[in-house]
Amino acid sequence: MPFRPALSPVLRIIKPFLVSLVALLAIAVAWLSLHVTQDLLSLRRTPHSDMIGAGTQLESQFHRFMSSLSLAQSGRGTEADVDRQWIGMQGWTPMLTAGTLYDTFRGDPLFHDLSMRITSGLQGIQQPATAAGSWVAAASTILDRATALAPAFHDLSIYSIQKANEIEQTQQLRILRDAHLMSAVIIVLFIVLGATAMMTHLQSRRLRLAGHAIDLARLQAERASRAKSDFVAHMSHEFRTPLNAIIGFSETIQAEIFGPVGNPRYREYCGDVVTAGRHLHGLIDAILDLSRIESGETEISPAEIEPVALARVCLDLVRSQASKKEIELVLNVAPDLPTFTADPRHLRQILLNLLSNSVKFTAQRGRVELNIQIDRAAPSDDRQIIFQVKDTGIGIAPEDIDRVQRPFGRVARSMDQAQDGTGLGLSISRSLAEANGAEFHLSSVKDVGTTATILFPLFPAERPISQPLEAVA
Amino acid sequence: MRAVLLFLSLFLILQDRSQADEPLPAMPGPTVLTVTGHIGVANAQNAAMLDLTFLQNLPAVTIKTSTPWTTGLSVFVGVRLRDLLTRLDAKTVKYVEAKAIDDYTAQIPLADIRAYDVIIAYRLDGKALDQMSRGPLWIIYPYTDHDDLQQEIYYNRGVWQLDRLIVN
Repeated sequence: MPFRPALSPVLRIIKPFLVSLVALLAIAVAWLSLHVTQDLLSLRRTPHSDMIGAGTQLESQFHRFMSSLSLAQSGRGTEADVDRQWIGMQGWTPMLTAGTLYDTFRGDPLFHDLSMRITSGLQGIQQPATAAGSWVAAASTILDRATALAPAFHDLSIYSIQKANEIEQTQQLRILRDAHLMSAVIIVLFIVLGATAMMTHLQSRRLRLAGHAIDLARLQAERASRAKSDFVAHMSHEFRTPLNAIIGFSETIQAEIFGPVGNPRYREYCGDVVTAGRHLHGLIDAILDLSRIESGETEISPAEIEPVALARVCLDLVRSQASKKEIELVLNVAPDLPTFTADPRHLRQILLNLLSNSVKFTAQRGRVELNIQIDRAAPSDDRQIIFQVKDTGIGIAPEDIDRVQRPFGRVARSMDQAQDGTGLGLSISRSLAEANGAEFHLSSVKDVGTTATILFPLFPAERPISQPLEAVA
Repeated sequence: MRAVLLFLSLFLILQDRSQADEPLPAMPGPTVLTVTGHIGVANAQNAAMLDLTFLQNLPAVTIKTSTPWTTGLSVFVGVRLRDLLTRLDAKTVKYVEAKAIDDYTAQIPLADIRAYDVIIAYRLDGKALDQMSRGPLWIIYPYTDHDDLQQEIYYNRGVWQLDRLIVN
């Protein structure tokens, strides 16, 4: 079961909000910075201050006109000078009806009033000159009217300057406001990012702690498992010593070595004690084997194996058992079998387990085969040697196949009574085969027979192919 | 863009070299613009006194732009300052001093003349300019076409009631 780190519930709920908040804030910062940039650019581009200041220039042009007229009146200037300044006025007066100044003040009643006063006042100034045909001739009237008009120009000038300042101030305030807003948003952004980082940190610490706990639990489990295996190995050994005494003395009594036991019933009981003791002995040996394999203490001593010789030895060991039930033992060997490398002790144990199982579960006059082949179809460096133990026994139902390969996984309780066995043979065989890098397969048809197949690699990758030769028999 | 304009101006200058020595025609109309300074052709004492017809006979250029002095887009028609200087065989121009009837003065650097179609406008929105409408001549930059030009220093060079140019 893999460990699945879970987000803390709070973070799980908050996370999408945080992410969208950060995104929103980032967008806000980008938008505001664009805004501020535009503001600053507009501050540079907008001609407001100077163009509204045009009011001032209009006033000063009017004064230049007045002074040129008074100079001309006193003979220190010419009619042409006055003409030039009057024409100059014409360049500025359109400011009252079009352009930035007019646009800025559009709809402003005071500006409208001033502009009307100036326009009609200028007409009043030009009119006597037109009538007299000369500026100088009508100078005194014009100067009187001009002096009366001058405050209007002055008011316009002041008013336009005020307005320009106002606009500039507004602009500056807007920039300031945007800048402050941007700073605030940036600060919030940093706070949110900080909070996110903090939460992530806490989360990761939580995960790390959980990881530690898992490591600890695994370590404890491993220790417990090892302790169990140690215990089993130790206890098995302790069991065997008294058991050997029981079996040995029972055999002595049964054989009546030191004189008759009297009632034949005692001898019979002694025989039962011997049988039960041997069974227990076998069971203890099997448990010991299994616990060694499980605790990873199985030592593998690879050696070069001559398969046929090994097979013969194993068959010889089950022959007496088989002949009691008149079971036919057959050895089929492919020609030119090569030697191969594995632990000979383990292979012998596997084959013996399988053969004795087969003999055990095969009825009178049945047949047990041991076939040894090479899968010649496979590529030469990927070949396997195949040992197959096939019987015509009672077979195993498909639903029981997996179970029988597990420790103590015998098919039915009743069988324990009918058949002698520890129920560990298959699982030990499988474990030993796998420890030697072999594949173990079991197939069976109920009431027809069982076939166990072990495939040893001919060239095990981890181990060198040539090992010190060991006599097999 | 600038490179193209520069090339164009050089091309025009070179092309007009052929007629550079061409003397100014007779100016029957009233003088609207007096050009003095470093010019190659003249019709008075070191001066070219030009009438409106002469300016109108030079290639006319239209600039559609808004200005701080007008509301909305206005259509100005006039002669390129660059073309006029070429016609007058102006040599070693550094800047042009533009003066108005009321003696308002602005300096127009050669860079402006080269980079932009700065014109001396004589027509606004289909009507001839006159003294009552900031005429008869008005220096106009293509403000709307170039964002760079929408600045105070360029607005100040838009001299209205122009009557004198001094080529330096």
